[in-house]
Amino acid sequence: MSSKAPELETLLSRKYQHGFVTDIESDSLPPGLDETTVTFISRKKREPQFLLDWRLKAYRHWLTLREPSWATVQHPPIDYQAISYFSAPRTPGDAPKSIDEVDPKLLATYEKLGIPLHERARLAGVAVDAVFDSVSVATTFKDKLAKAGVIFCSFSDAVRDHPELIERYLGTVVPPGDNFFAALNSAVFSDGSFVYVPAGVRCPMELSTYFRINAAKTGQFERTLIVAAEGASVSYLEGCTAPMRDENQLHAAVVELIALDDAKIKYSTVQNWYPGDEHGVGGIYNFVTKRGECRGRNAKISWTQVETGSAITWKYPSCVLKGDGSVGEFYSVAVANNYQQADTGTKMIHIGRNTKSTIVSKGISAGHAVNTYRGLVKVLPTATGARNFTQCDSLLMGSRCAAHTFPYVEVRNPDATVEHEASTSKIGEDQLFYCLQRGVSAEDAVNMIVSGFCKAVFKELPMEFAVEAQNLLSVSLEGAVG
Amino acid sequence: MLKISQLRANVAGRNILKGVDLEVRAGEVHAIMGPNGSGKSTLAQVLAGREDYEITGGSVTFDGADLLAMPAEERARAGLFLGFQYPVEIPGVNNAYLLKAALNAKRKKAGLAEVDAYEFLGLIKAKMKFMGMDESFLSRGVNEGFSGGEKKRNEILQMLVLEPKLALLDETDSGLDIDALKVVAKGVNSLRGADRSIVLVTHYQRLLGYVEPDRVHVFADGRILKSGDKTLALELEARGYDWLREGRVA
Amino acid sequence: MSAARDQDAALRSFEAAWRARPEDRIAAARADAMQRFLALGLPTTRDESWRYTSLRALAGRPFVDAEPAPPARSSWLAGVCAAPVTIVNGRPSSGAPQPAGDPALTIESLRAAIDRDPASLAARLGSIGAAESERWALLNRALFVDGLQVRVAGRAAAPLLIVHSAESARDDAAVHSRVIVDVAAGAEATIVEHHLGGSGHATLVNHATQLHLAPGASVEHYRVFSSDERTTHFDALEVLQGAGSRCRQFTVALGGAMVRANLSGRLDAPGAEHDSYALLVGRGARQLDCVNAIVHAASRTTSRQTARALAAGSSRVVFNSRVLVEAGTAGASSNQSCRGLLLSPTAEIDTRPQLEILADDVKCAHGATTGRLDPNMLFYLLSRGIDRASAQTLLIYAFLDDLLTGMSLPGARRAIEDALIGELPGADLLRSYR
Ligand SMILES: Nc1ncnc2c1ncn2[C@@H]1O[C@H](COP(=O)(O)OP(=O)(O)O)[C@@H](O)[C@H]1O
Ligand SMILES: [Mg+2]
Repeated sequence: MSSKAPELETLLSRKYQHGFVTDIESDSLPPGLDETTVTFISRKKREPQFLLDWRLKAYRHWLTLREPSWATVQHPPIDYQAISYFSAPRTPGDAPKSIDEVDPKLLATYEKLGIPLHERARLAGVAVDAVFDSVSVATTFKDKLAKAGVIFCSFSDAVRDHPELIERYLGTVVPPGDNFFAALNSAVFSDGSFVYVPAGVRCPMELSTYFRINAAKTGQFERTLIVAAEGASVSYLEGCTAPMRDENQLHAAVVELIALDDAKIKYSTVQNWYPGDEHGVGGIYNFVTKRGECRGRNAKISWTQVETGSAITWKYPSCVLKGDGSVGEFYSVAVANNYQQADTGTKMIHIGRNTKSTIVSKGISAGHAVNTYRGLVKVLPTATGARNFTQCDSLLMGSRCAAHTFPYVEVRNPDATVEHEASTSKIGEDQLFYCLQRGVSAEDAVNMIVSGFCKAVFKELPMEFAVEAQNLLSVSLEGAVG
Repeated sequence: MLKISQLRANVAGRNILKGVDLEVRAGEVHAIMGPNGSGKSTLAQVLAGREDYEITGGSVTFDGADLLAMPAEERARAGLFLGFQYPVEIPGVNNAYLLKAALNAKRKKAGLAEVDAYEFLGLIKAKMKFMGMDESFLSRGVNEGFSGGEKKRNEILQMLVLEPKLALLDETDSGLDIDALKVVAKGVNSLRGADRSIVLVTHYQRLLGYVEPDRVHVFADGRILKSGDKTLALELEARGYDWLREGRVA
Repeated sequence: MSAARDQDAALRSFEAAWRARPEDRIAAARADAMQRFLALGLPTTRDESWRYTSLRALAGRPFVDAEPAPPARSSWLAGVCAAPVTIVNGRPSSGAPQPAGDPALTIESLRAAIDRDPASLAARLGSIGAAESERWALLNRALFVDGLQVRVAGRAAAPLLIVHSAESARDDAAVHSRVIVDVAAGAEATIVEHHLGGSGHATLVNHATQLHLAPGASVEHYRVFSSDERTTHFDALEVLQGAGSRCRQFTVALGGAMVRANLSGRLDAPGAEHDSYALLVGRGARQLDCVNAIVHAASRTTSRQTARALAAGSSRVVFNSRVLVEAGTAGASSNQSCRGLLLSPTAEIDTRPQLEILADDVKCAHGATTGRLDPNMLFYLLSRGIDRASAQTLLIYAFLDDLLTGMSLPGARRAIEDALIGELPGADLLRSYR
């Protein structure tokens, strides 16, 4: 590289654009966690007894678990008693009945974030179930969905209006005791989204939720449950942004997907939580459990994620391929800059015959960041004819970052075919030089090369978000090479 | 020799052969032409006994026997030879060994003694010379690192060693330069005889200039659309396939 | 010590054996190793590098040191070298013979080396591998009874064959032995270690080899396991490489009830190059667990790891390979490739190709495939009239033999191929094939 190229450090010093705090009085619990906290949350939300019992069971199990520790993820110990487990924006009466009832300040917040809430908004045709801190405040497009028979509502509404569906499906993919953070979530989750697409129905629009952590020291514990009945299909997009704060904030969500015979679920995430500053101060701890189960024949679950935010990401969207002929996919771009730590990947568990999975993971590390792919492909003896293909590539920018690849491939069926390929290298100097020589600026050249590197993942995103993801990527990596 | 009636087959759950009828008598040379993806290779592979292709209807007799009931290796020993469109590379399995094992398997079936190493070497070297192939190919892995043209020559070499009754040559002429094409044609012609039949799958009139066919068939959309004599090939070369398909719709 | 560890019969028996040993001149180093081993305990499947190999049954059994014994069998690799050195139950038989007329090689027993210069020997015993996966090497340091020290001063005239033979008529014998090889600057050697034996008894063999390559040194090293179906091997190979040195390493597992073969390589100075090959043949109830860890600690270092794994019967084959590129290095290049062939519905292949990259100027890649025989290859052979069983046999053999083509010792390759054929179905066919 020529020495005339711009200095790496100066270009890396971009400030987080979404950093501001909205001043709304919260109806919050004081910090601390015990059975009373759990009961308070459940009561406050007027939940049926089965759910309270379920939460308490999860809580008791959580007490027996230890926080997972991976050698490659490091953070000061989290004091779970210092977290406030409930925070709801105070609005007149209970939940707003329509968008007009929503606190205008809140709407302004969304405005600043660029979240389209109104039907006139940029993303017309996209239903938004916006979650502000923990409680869903507005849902649009309900009518159109209702006409198609699709249920799309906040988790709290679902508990009230469709308790039988919740009881039937909740925790059947991610059991409450699955892991430390899933158990914690099961005990204290405050809200989230619920989607039910009945048999034979193609959901008439992309469903979308934006999450945002706002109040200080508020852990956010959403719960998302999506069920696609026989032959149904749905595409869901989740986007996240959090304001700037010095204390690290915990985010421990659980997402469960269930696809019955011939059903298709596509779940896309653009994650842009506050990553901390360029010295590694602040930022979100994003410890998420996401899992889908292809319960029926020829079901398909596809995860696509673009992870650019959070101080620490710990997340493995997975597929349990139970139904014969079912398909699991995982497409991921994870960017870690400054002092971010991303530990992400997937698990593909092949149980049914002729099940197929594809994993494409692209990791980009810059600054002092650590970016880890951790994945499991497991073929059980029952999965005759199973196939997996995995491609996982890492790109390094700067000599102080790290990129790790930890795949586990476990095959127990002689009629399966599993292929894994991985590579790690630094951004191609010859490619950069070629661009510079053609008069392209270093930054544009990096953007071009990186987006080429990520192309296989971006093309899996719904159109309008692909553009957004691409922009986010170039912003995250601004000046990461010189 | 070969009689195919209403043969239907699926590949990966998709119906590819949709009722193929074809009869090839002893001593005849047939050419099958047709657009890409129409199912010609599928037909050839089904005839050779590929298991993952699912036969859903019809019948095939070979010398009066039920061909479809025989496993692939039995078909080969009974005298059916497939020249692959894309011959697979098998590193570590020696070319000469494969030839010898294949020849002996066939001789055993015919009640003949195995060829000894000396006899085999003599035979193989003569055939290689005939095909203009370097002897060093013998000690390499099957098709390992061979160029496209070398692979095709190797297919013909195997055919000459095994002397099949029925040779199905799937685009053996594709990707060959003019000299190689002549060598391949020479090999095919040397096999011609009253008790042998040859089916050539090809896109080009070029090969048919050297190996004159008795019958020419147009294969489209999983079946034989039209048959004729060698002039049909010339017509196809001049006019392409579209006129046939349009004619069929009308 | 926790109550759970007190249940640990093997651990306690090792400690007892250590206490019962007469003190030698490196007793302090041994005591240190033993204390660390006892603190760590035996590995369980909760330890990352042991997740696929359970030692539960073994941990509950007490072991005693194997008695000295006379040589009882000869190695089928004997052809590679005129004067092999035989080590029975950890002790060189008849002292340590000097291979005739090779001034480049100096060999002495480790016992002799300890007596002659305990300080430098003790200093040499440290392990470069991670303690978690190298616990048996730690135990070995405490308990090795004897072994060899080999010094290569120039270009060795002939390969050196070391035959490790386990001979015991008991079901609780444990052998702890060690080989230390120093290759001087610019020197060259081929060293073959053959582990064989087990007399139908459940012997535990805990062996460690340390290979230190000075700048510009070049070594081809083989370790071949062909013990009987009741022998358990824990084998730790440590390779420390100086500037511009080259190491080619072959690990061939064709026998044993269990073989845990560790390879810890450290490319310590610029230009070091490391190639390792593992041929893992699992059948019956065999458990093969190959754990490689290569550390690129300097610039312009290169490593390639290649493995072929076969799992038949109810065997389990594990290939765990790790590459670590340290911060501050530039121009490291690594490649890991593992191909597995699973032949039975009760067998299992587990693959973990790991990359840990702490520098940016690297080119690292890995590839892993696990599956069945290529159906296209099989069909091609069938379509030429080859019967199915023969076609499968040929393809299996070709798949495995491919790994051996890199061996530069033709005698070793030939003998290993013969032994490999003996492990496969259709041996007669394969013999005629060659
Ligand atoms: N293994 C396979 N899996 C899925 N489809 C296949 C496979 N092999 C062939 N096909 C499909 O079958 C059709 C016929 O192919 P082929 O017989 O090769 O045609 P042709 O030889 O006439 O060009 C094509 O559409 C091709 O894509
Ligand atoms: Mg074709």
